[in-house]
Amino acid sequence: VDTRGGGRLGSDTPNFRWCAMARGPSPSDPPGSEPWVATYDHPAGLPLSEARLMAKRFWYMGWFGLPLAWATNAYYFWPHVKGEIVPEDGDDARAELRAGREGSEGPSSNARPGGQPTILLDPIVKKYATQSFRGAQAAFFVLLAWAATFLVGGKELFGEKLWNRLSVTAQPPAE
Amino acid sequence: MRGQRPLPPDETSVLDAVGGEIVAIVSPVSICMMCCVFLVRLLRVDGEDATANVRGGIASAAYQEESSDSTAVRAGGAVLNSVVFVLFITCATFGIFFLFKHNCTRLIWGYMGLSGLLIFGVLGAVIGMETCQALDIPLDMLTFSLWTYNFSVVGVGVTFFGKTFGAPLVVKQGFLIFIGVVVAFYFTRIPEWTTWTLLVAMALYDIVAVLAPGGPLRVLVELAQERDEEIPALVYEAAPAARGARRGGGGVLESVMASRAGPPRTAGAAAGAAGGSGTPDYGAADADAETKPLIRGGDRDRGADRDGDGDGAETSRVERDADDADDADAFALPDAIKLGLGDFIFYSVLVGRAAMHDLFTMFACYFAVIQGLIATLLMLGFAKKALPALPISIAAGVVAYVGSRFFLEPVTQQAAARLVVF
Repeated sequence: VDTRGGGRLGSDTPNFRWCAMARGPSPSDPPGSEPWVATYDHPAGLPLSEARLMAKRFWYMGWFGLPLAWATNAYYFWPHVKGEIVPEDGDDARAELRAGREGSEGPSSNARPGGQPTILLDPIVKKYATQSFRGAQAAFFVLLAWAATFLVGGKELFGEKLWNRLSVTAQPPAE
Repeated sequence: MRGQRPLPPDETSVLDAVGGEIVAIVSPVSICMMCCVFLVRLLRVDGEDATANVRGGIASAAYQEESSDSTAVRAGGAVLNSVVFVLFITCATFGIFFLFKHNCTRLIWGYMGLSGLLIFGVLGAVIGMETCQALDIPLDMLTFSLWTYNFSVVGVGVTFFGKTFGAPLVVKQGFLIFIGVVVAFYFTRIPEWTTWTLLVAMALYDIVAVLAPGGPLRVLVELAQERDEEIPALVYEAAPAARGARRGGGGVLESVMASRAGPPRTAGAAAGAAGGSGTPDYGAADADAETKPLIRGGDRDRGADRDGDGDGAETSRVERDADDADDADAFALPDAIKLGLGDFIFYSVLVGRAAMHDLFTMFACYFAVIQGLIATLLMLGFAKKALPALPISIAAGVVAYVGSRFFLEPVTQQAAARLVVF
């Protein structure tokens, strides 16, 4: 996996590099050489294979009537959906990264050689994240339409009996 | 916190250095308390009526309070209830410890996931319905059911199985606060006398459990440290403060401090609290993982966050200005403070119960608890190890409640009635 030249945020422009390889790290790669992909909690990231697995997992989970899972997926991998890694506050992130790199010469339990991992964007994660985002949007609009219909239509549209069965306020008190 | 600009080194003082971290913990605690107070004020019949149809579950196992009981009977019954509750918690914690020791961690997490599902899906849903009804929100059952289903499944996945189902930190924090609010709201069902004696008992238990050599929480924390594993617990992790500012103030972190706390508090207590109302009987021994001790964060990431530079925080990296060298030795807060969910819950119970009397007492207790929390955080900076977060706050809160209810309130009420403005 080509990790060189990946989104180094120490530079002035928030550039990024898409993961060149379509497959994840092979077993022959030394541990810790896996590139990391960006998440919403930038600069926290995830190792590539884990990120792909998680994006896929959320995508399939959403099909069980869970648009919130899609929304969480899109939210979590938001840099991929958006297509760029933008640090919240440029100075802060750069200061952190620089400090991180400086500190990597000192005692560190960071197993990755070279200290600070480079943060990348991945096309596969992007695919699942954007699909999840679109699915969540679609589900949200459908739900909104239904809720609005119920709200506006009220008893006139549904009839007294059906409305009483459907409305939360008409249910007997929970206790 | 995200987006903070680092201060120039010459401007950092102790307050500058720790202010961010303190706010990062005080905010969610406040949110949890305020949500609990809101629910209590909205959904509870306030005043003495509340005692009448109260079902406190495990916390009322020994004695059910009646309005007609004398003070002595109530006091005795309350102490009995508290003793039973604390024993229950101790057994549950030791149970978790033994499971953890024999590597049945998956069992623990699975069980916690199940109780989490019940908290979100049943207790949370009941609260949601009651809120809709009380506020007359014209929602329909289909939307509500779909939303409950989604919220529960995703919430449990994100909170309890964070490694399998990741989410942004703010989402995780939100779900944890929700759990805290729901459980605290159910604990406000406990009769009044029992509530206060229970809080005091839990504060005492906390001290013993965290600081005493054989205490269940301490041995659990030590075992997890030894094995370098995550404690099976629900812990609120505050977002790390801007590291630039901290470096100026001196960030001394010792890797041996990688302590996570996790006394499984029971959702069974909470579930038991709901059990009396006809909802499914959850049984007594649900072991949730809601933690007590206030712990130093900045420790090894085991999957909850994957800070690229989070690993750096846990090492013995010592960076300090020459001026601050002495300060740095004496006092340093970790980069990311972690507070157990049990603390959230008991703070919220205290403030919620005060709110059931009056908002006047509620505010007094709120400020007392927050002051206690900040005092504990400052102690954490000096002690540099896991500390119990309950004692100081509960003590302050109880004193504030008694003081404001029995001494302050009559005075201010009378003064206000006579138009003497305070």
